[in-house]
Amino acid sequence: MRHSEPILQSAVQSVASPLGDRLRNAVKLYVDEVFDRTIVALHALLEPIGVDMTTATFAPGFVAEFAAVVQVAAWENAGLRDHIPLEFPPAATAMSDLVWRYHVDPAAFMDPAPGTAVFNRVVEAWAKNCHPDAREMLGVDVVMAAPPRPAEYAEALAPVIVTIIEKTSSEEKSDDA
Amino acid sequence: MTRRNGSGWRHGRVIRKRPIGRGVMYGRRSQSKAKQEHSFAYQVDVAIKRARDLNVPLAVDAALIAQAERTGLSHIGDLYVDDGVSGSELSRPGLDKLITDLKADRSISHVFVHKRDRLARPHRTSDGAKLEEEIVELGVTIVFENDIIQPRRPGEDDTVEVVTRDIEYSRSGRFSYDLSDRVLKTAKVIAGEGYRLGGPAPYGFVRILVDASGKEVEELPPGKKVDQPGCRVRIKPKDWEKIRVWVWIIEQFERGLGTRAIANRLTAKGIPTPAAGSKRKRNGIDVPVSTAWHSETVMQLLRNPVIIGLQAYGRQSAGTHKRWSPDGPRDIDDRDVVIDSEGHQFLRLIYNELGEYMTAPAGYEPLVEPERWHRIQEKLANRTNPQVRKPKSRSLDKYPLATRVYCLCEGCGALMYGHEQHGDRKYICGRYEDSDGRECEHNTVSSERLFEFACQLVTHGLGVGAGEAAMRDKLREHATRVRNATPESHRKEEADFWAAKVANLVGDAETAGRRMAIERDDASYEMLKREYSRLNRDLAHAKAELAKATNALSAADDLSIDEEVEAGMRLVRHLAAVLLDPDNREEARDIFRRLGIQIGLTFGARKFGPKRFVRQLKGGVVVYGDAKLPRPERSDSETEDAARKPIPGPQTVDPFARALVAAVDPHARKEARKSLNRRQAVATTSTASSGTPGGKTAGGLTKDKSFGRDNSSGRT
Repeated sequence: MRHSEPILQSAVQSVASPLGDRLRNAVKLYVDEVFDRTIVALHALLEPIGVDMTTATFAPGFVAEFAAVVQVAAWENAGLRDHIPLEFPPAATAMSDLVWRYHVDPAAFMDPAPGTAVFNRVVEAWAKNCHPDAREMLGVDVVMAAPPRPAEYAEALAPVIVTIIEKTSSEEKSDDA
Repeated sequence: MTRRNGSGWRHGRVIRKRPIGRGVMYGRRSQSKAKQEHSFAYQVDVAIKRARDLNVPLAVDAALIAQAERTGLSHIGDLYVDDGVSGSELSRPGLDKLITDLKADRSISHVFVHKRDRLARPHRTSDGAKLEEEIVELGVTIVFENDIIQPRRPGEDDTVEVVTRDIEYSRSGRFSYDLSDRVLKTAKVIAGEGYRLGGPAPYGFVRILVDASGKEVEELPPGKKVDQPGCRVRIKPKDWEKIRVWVWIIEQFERGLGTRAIANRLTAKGIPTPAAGSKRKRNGIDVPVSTAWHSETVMQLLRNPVIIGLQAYGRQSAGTHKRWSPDGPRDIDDRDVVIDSEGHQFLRLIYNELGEYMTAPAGYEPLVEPERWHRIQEKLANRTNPQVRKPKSRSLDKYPLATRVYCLCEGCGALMYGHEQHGDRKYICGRYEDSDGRECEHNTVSSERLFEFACQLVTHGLGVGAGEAAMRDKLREHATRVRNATPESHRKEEADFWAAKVANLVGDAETAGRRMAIERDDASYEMLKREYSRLNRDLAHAKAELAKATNALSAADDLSIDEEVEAGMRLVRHLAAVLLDPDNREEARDIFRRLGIQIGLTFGARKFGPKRFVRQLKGGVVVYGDAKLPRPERSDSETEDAARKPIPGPQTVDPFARALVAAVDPHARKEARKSLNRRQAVATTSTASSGTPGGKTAGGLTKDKSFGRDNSSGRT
């Protein structure tokens, strides 16, 4: 199982546990994809300087934080960053800072907790603001103006439904008349 | 720190020179012409002589170079060549293969190159230096005709070498710009005398070689190239049948037919197209070109001034160093550049308008009156965009999200139209369609996939199942709030107000009508007529408002809050059922309309194949009800500027940005699955703790090169 890896497991559990089964699965798939992209980013960064990615290893905290940066970069690239409320520096800045910290003190990243916490913040932002099925159906993130939780959906849709009911009722009366 | 990276041993900045093994030769010429200063034969002679002097085995001879020329191969044995490739291109088949082989084959110790300008004519001096360093850092010695570049020992002074290298690359790079400048200036002079500078003869014309006195020397068959001193090429009409077709096209356009209609008629008449009989490559196979006329062919004939006896030059700008402008050669600027999503910049072809290119008498009488031709150009410039073939959703069921999907690309914000292409239904950027591709980009999204997503979106949002209770509560809360916010007394007041307004307006309109009937003064009559029209418009509006207020009042009388909530829940279930039924598109469309769903999509460019770019979906935003999409405001005056802007895209400024750009590519995941094993890359705590996780500061290494470890050395 791809999700058996500790970092992913941790992220999925902490973010997905309060959600329904469907959303939990969506979060799992999402986290899985973000980590695939993280590998690509590491590959693109390190291969040009001669690091063999098939045998290289990285501290877990570093990979988790790196994954967070990659996701934020994807939002920036898609023009969605402004629509997702998340306190996070621009991806390029965050990446430069992360790489420098890893360079200076790699041992600090041996503990996965801080990096996973950063990653979890990003996953939470995704779960709150993006439609869970968009990645699967369209291959991209789609930001919802109305948050995807049932109560919040209802909050957003109730005025529309009530307006429809009132209008329909009025139209029926009018037709009868 | 000692590290092996597959490209040689390094000790800090020290690179070990490879012991003498064997030599290879790299050759390049920018044009496939035998007569050139740096012909392949000459380059080979120099390389063989230098190899003999240095006592390096080099298995290259004249026969090998002849074979490369004949076969068009970029690599044969120890010979690497790029034939007909500009030195400003830093990625060439022969050069790329050479570097790959240098990395893989450590027996290659020397690379023989005639001169630095054969290696590169870079736009930036540093690019040439980097290329040279890339080879030398592998421990390989580069042997030029006048210089030898090899890995240096620590402390060895390389100032002279660096300065010489930079000067040579600067000169060789500058050469291309100067040459381009000279070519454009010379071409302007030649074209100013009505001579033809290249390309096949236009439809119905032939090329002729003329001497300095203008006398015809010979007629040039298609494809024949001549380089005869004192002679130039002109064109003259020859095939009068084809010329008559051209004139017929002009007449039809003057009569009001569109280019497509003309093309269809030409095809129906069985008239061969200008390219009839020729072949084109499709997937590497020669196939005959279509026998059907295309509207673009008709358009090109209508725009070509050759028909009025004028030879044009500068209708297209396509240079890589300098480009045509009426004021002389110009540098490449923003309008010439397109940037893909990976930040790579590419040059694009620019079509210059009439007035931006030059014309000169071609040496024969006009075949159509010039005034007529100029009127046609004016008509072409002023005509609105043809609506023929413009996508229109004739069947609304096909595009249930029609009028709800917007392109949110930078500077666009246009509605996306339903469009069927090769059986696939898509939404395509309306601005792109309306401007014939001059504005925005070819942004499309599958109609079916978006519809399925929108259904999922609404079904999910409606709270079917687990969310029903929440939806019920919210409906009740909102219905109560609405009732309290607009009490019945207010509704009655509103209905009374509009009833009174209607009564007043009816009276006023009747009065105005009576006065009109007896008015004798024309001016007064006109004034009364205008007033009567205004009163009737106001009356219609007031009646509509009255009907609305009366209905709202009666609806409030009929439905209690509980009933309203129950009706709402019934509607919710109905909506969900409709959306889950893939065949019920009409109602689905109505639901989208009622919910006020709008979907904004962002797109980016992606390289597809060696030269082509495709647009792809990058993300989206969905809003409901009265909420507005973040559509960019754009006035008409901005349209032209926006059309000239290069496609925005992230700039690849450093390795970090490049890595992020690579990661956000939608295809990245596929690649990751193919080439990498994440289990190995993501360390478990136990594995990582058994060794240093990389990032150890290394003397002399920059920070981006110092982290990450390679287990192959056995030291991690």
